Amino acid sequence: MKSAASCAVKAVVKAKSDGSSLSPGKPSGETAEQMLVAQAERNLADQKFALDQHSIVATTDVQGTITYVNDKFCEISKYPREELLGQNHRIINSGHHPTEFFQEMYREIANGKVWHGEICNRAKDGSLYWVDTTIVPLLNSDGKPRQYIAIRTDISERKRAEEARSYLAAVVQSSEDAIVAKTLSGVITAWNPGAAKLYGYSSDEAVGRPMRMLIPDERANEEVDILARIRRGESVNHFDTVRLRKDGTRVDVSVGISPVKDARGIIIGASNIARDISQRKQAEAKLAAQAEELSRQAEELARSNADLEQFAYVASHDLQEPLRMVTAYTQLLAERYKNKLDESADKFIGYAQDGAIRMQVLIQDLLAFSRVGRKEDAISTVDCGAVMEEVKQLLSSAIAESNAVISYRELPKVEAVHTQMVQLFQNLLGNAIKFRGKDTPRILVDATRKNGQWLFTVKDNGIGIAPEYAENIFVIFQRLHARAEYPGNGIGLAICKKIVERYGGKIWVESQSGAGSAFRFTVPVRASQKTEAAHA
Amino acid sequence: MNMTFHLLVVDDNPADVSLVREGMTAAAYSGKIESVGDGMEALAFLQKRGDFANAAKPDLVILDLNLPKRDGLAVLAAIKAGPELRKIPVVVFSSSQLSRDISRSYELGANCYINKPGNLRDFFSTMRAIEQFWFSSASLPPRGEENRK
Repeated sequence: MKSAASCAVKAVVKAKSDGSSLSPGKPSGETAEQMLVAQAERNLADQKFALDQHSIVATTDVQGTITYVNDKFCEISKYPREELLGQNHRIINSGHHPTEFFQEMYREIANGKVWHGEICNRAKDGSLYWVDTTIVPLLNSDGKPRQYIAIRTDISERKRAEEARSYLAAVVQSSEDAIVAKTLSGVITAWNPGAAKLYGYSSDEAVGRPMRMLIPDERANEEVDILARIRRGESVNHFDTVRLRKDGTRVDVSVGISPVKDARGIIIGASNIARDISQRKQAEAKLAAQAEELSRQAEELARSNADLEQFAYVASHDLQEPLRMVTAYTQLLAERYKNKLDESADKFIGYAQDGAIRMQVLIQDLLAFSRVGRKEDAISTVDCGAVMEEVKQLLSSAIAESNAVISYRELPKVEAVHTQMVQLFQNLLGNAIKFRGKDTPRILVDATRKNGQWLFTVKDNGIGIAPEYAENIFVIFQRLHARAEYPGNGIGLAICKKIVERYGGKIWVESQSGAGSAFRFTVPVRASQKTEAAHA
Repeated sequence: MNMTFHLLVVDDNPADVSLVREGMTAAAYSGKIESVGDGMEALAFLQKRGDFANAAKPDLVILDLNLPKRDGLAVLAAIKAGPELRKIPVVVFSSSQLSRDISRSYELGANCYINKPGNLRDFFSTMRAIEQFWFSSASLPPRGEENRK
């Protein structure tokens, strides 16, 4: 068989080298033997033609030098024939295969055996292509190869598809998400390591069993709905749900399901991707709990503030009653028994009177302070310029006495309780006059708009405040000076702070000891705009 | 007409009653001052019931609001509801400065509302004002025979 084939190939090669036609016509007068040979040659040529249509064909000598390539070989390797013939076959070696691979191959074919395998070659332009290769050694009469014929089929497409598939499989295998395939009736057909990790079942335990085993009873309808939608060709977008693990514990997951179609587009099952969201759920629950706790604390604080205000109001109101008696009767004692008892008695009565009067003022201050928080007065649009005029009137005797010069520049209208704005400015201006220096008191009030707020400034040239006391002065009953030096209970700025904070503003002082003070406070513009919009 | 004025002080605080007495005396008031300590007693006094069967009808009532049993506003309402009693002028005399209490008192027919002053001087000048206005300047409603002595 083999020798017959070698004879035929020899004949073809000879015919070709003679330049004669492969399918010669029938010359007349040929012998029967000649006719048989001609017939065999024709058959062989036809078969070669057919082979060339399908396969990549090359022959090499035993050293591997290319002696023949067909068109397909040139086409796939992108070399012109003349660049291949006479070259060693290594010209198309891609380097993809280890040396042993080719050593093994050569050992086989050198021993006269047919070799079969898949080889990655490199084309002239550097691109790689895969060929399914059969190498047939053509042997001498002594059984040694005299040349090799390689018949190859381009399998690059298949190789690429295989690579893509294995890449995809690797992605699925390495995914942290649980990726599960199931049939339209919900039977698990594929189970990645992510699924094993999430649900606790190995692939062997899960494949072939119903998806339903992962679904808690109260959610059984979920799977029914999902399968119905998949059959209609719909995807199920990721939704948060709960699944059962092998050990019976529950896990919060986000699940998305898509139909899987075969090559013809027919829905054959579904892919089910689940992600463990228990950490996210825990974080959400924690956040919600924190928010709840915060709002509970805020409520508690509001309630305790309200309680405190109510307490301060009631206490100061009720304290006034007995104190009124103490005040009145110590005065009556003083009036009626002055100089009738001894000197000490007169002194004691005097102390008692002073104490009672001071206590009365304190209680009235406390009452005034606690009233700031009480929602008795209505908020309206208050013209701060008009407030200034009113305050100047209220302070007229102090202004006259100190020769204070009070000026103000265009003040805005704000949404506030009128009496509270009067009190605010009265306390600030009153302080500016009270804590005046040696020079004639000069007080300037102005307001600028900044970041949605009115920034008011009450600036004086008084004795100022050392920066270390800048915070203290706003605390109720905090005083910086001896009573004899500057009378007062330390309530004025506390009330100012409470008023300003009621409207969502801030109050502070910028001052140096001996260098005057600038009291600043903010009032949100926003509130007034909102109200205006509501009125419109 | 030789008349002795009758002043009824309704206040549960003996110290306040005492101050009223002191103040009225200092203001040279020479009439009688009687006092009751709660709302029920006040009404019994005015309606001459029980222990107060022989009580004289007062010419003026000084009425505290914060009273045990029945508060001052209830007493005021009762006084101003009766055809005879309503003639008696009532001075509400309270330490409350709540506008609610003030307007409610006038609604019920109080003749005036005075805040109890916190110190003696003001207290006494208030008593002086009451004496001057009600017992020297104003003409009080005529009384029946009972009080004429």
